[in-house]
Amino acid sequence: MLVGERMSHPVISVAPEMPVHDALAMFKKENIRRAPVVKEGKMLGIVSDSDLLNASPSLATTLSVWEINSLLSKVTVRHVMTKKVKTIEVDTPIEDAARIMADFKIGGMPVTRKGKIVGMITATDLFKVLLEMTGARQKGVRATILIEDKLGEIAKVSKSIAEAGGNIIAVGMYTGPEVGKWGVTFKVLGIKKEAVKAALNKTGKKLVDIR
Amino acid sequence: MLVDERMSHKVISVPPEMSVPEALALFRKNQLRRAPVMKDGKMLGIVSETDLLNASPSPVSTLSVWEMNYLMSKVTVKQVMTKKVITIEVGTPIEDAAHIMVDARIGGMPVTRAGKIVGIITETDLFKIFMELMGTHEKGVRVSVLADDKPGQIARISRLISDAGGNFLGFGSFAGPDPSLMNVTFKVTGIKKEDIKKVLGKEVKKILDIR
Repeated sequence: MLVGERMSHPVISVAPEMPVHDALAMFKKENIRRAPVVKEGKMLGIVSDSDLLNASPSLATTLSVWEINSLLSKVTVRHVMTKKVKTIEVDTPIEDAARIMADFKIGGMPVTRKGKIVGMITATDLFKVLLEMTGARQKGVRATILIEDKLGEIAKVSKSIAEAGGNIIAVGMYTGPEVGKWGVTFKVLGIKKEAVKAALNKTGKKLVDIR
Repeated sequence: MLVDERMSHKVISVPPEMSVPEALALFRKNQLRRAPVMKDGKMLGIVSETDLLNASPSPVSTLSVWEMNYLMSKVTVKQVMTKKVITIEVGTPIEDAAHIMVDARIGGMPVTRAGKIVGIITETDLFKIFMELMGTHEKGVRVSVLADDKPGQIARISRLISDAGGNFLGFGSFAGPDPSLMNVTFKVTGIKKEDIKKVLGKEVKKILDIR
């Protein structure tokens, strides 16, 4: 799963000369939170809704409100954008996008192919991927067990579920509450909760949660 | 994995009487994007950075800047907060948090136990979970394959890999380019790229990416 497979496109961009007010109105209309600032096909920066809202007059200003209004209509996206843009190449693993967003505390970034913008990847896109990989959009039995950190454990458990007629649609593994063990969550379709429970009991693993 | 296993326990809240400029300063200092509004241990609402920024004086105001400053110091969190708070109970599957954040277009929410706030879960927490599920914290071979979406497929693939000595570090299954296909992406150790290609060769439609 690569960034290019789940990014949003086409990209809504803004021109550097756009007044901050117009950009804010456009963000609301398009329901976006950030947009690359593009001129003649070249990206000059990125502007977020916080950048735009922050451009509201400083409370500490000594200008009169008439002067503020006149100045504000002259404040453009170029003045408030961030010039250093984090971008990600289109064929990067999608989990790397999550790492960058977590490390830099950003909610989205442009996706590039050889430096040219081809899409945007945002927190919402990543949440959807997370839903997909946990099978959350589908009804079924969700079971979490603890397994040892050794070879063949997941295969053993999935085999037991498959033999009971269950179709595993998602597997998620995470560092478990116990040291040296993994928590593994399965989403299973086609069989009832009791049947999943029985199949898991057969493997001798500890069942943490089933619903 | 449940919400309380990965939420942040440290909740920074603000009192309803705090002025908007004070709250903004607190948000910047602690890198917050939202905080519950609390009084006497009771949650009255939630306030986001956007709520606070939006409360900045409108540039079309006809007040002088002196009047504006005076009034702004009087605007409190209580006046700009959102009263209807979306919360999530401990013990809820983590993917349900992602579901809510996508649908409500929010970046985080308080986690409650029997109605009382015990933590907060944000997009950054979800990004980290995503990385964990994909095994980004450990070295190994990352493989994406396209396979028929049929019952038992995940069990089969995991069986083939572990029979060849591979140990899973991360696993995700996603919708393929059409409903009959799925994309399975996983990370493994203990098995070479060539051997993965060899054992999966017949079982999957196509190896999309291996690195």
